[in-house]
Amino acid sequence: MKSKTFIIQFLLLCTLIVYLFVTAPPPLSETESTGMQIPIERVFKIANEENKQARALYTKEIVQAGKKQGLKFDEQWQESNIIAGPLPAQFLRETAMHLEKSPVRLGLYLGSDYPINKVNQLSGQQLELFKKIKQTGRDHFYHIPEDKTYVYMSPDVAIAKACVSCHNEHKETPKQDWKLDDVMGATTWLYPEETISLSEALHLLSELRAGFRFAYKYFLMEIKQMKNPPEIGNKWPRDGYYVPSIDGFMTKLTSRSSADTLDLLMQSVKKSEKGGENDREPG
Amino acid sequence: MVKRTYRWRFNLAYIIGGILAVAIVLVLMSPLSDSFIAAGPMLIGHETLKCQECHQDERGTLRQQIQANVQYLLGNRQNAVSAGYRTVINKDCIQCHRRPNDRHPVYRFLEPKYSEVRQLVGAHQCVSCHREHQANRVSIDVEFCQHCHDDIALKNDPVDVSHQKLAADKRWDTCLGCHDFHGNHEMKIPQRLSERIQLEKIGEYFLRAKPPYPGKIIHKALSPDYEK
Repeated sequence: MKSKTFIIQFLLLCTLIVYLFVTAPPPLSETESTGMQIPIERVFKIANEENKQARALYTKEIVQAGKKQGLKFDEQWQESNIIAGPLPAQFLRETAMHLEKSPVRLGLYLGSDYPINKVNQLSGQQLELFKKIKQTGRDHFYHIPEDKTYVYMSPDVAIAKACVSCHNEHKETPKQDWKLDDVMGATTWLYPEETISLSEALHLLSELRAGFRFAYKYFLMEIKQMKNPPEIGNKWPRDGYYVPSIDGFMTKLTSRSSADTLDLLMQSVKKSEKGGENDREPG
Repeated sequence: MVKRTYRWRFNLAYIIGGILAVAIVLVLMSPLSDSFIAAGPMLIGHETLKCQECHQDERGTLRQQIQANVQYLLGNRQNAVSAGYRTVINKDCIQCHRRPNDRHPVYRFLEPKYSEVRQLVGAHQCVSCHREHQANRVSIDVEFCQHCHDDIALKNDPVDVSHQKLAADKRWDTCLGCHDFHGNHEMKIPQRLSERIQLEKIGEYFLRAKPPYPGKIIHKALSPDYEK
C-alpha cells in the first residue's frame, strides 16, 4: 500500500514538473518591459530637461508676465474662495499627481534645505547629496537597494525674479536673502528599474507631457472663474491681458524641448546599441 | 431490492450534487454574486463596485505565474508575481480618487526620506489607511500624524495653542479636529483649539458616519474635472 501511494505521489510530482517546466510556456519576464533597453539615468535626464523647460515657460511667461497684467497666483489656489493660478512648485506637484495616476512608474518631487512648506524639507541622504549638488550645480544619480529605487536629483535654480521675490517675502519663509540664479532646491525623480525599454521611455515622456497639460488645464480652470478673465487663445501675457490655450501652451513647450529630447533619445539608442555605459554601476 | 434502493439513492446523490455544482457555478458567475465572493463588507461608497474594477488579471497564464513563483522561491528570479489577479495598487484607487491639490497624496511618501514612515504606517499605499473589505472608512489609529509632524513649528502660528506645543504635549488626537487629511472638504480652519471637531466625531467618521467637517466635499470621486 505504501509503495502504491509513493508511486502515485511520484507520478503526480513528475506530472507537475512536466506541467510547470517541460511543457511550460515561456517564463514571465521580470518586468513588463521588452525590446531595446536604455539606462534609466538617461531617461531621467531627458525628463528633467523637459521639466525644466515646462517650469521655465510657466514661471516666466505665465506667472511673471501674468502678474504684470494683473493675474493672481496663490499657494491656496485650490480654496473655493480664492481665484488664482497655482505657483510654479504647485504646477510641478499637479504634474507629479498626473504621473502617479498614469501607468508609468515615474515619481517626481521637489525639495529644498530651506523650504517654505516643511514637507518639502530634504533630509538624510537626499540632503547630503543636495549639498554636493549646490556646490557643483550638477545632477546626481544613485540607487537605493532597500527601496528598489533609482534616484535622480537635479538643482532647481532661481530662474526668474518672481521665484526670488515670492520666496523672500513669504511669511513662513525660513530664508529671506534668495538671489537670482541661487540653487533653491532640487527636483527628485524616482523609478524602480535600472533600465527601461525604448517604447516605455517614450510612453513615460508622453505621460510627463500629459502631466504638464493637466497642470496647465487647472490654471485655465481657475482663470475662467475670474470676474474679468483674460482672453484665452493664441496670445500670451507679454502681449497684454491674454493667456494661451492648452494647445498654445503645449505647442510652445514642445517647440522648445522636442529637438533636445529627440537628440538625447537618439544618443541613448546609439549608446545602448553599442552597450557603451551598460556596465557602469550607478553612482 | 436493498441493493437497488442503495444504488438509486447513490445515483440521486450524484444528480443532486451535479445540479448543485452547476447552480453554484452559475450563481458565482452571475453579476449578483460579487457580495458573496467579496472578502468582507465594502468601504462606504464602494458598495456598487464590481470585483473586476479593482481586481484585474495578473499578466501571463496561471501556469506562467506558478512557474515564476517557483523560480522566485528557488532564488532564480528577483520578483514574485500574483497568481490569478494582480495586487490592487494605488493606481487602481487613483483612477477614481485623483484630485488636484491633495494635501497628502500617497505618491509623496515614496520619496527616500519617508522610508521609515513607509515601514511604520505604510503611508505610501492607499490601502494602509483605507483597507477594503473591512467596512470602515479609515482603518488606522487617529494619531498617525506624529510620524511626520513631530517637529512641527509655524513661524506665524494662528492657533491659540501653538502647533509646536501640541506636538510637544503629544496631542496627536487633535490634528484631525482641524485638518481634513486629504483637504477635500470646504472648511475654515478654527483658530481656537476648543473649536475643533471632537475626537469622538472623528472616530465615528472613521467608521461609517457622515463627515464631521462642516463644508461640502470639494471633489467627488470620478467628478468631471478628474479627466478630460
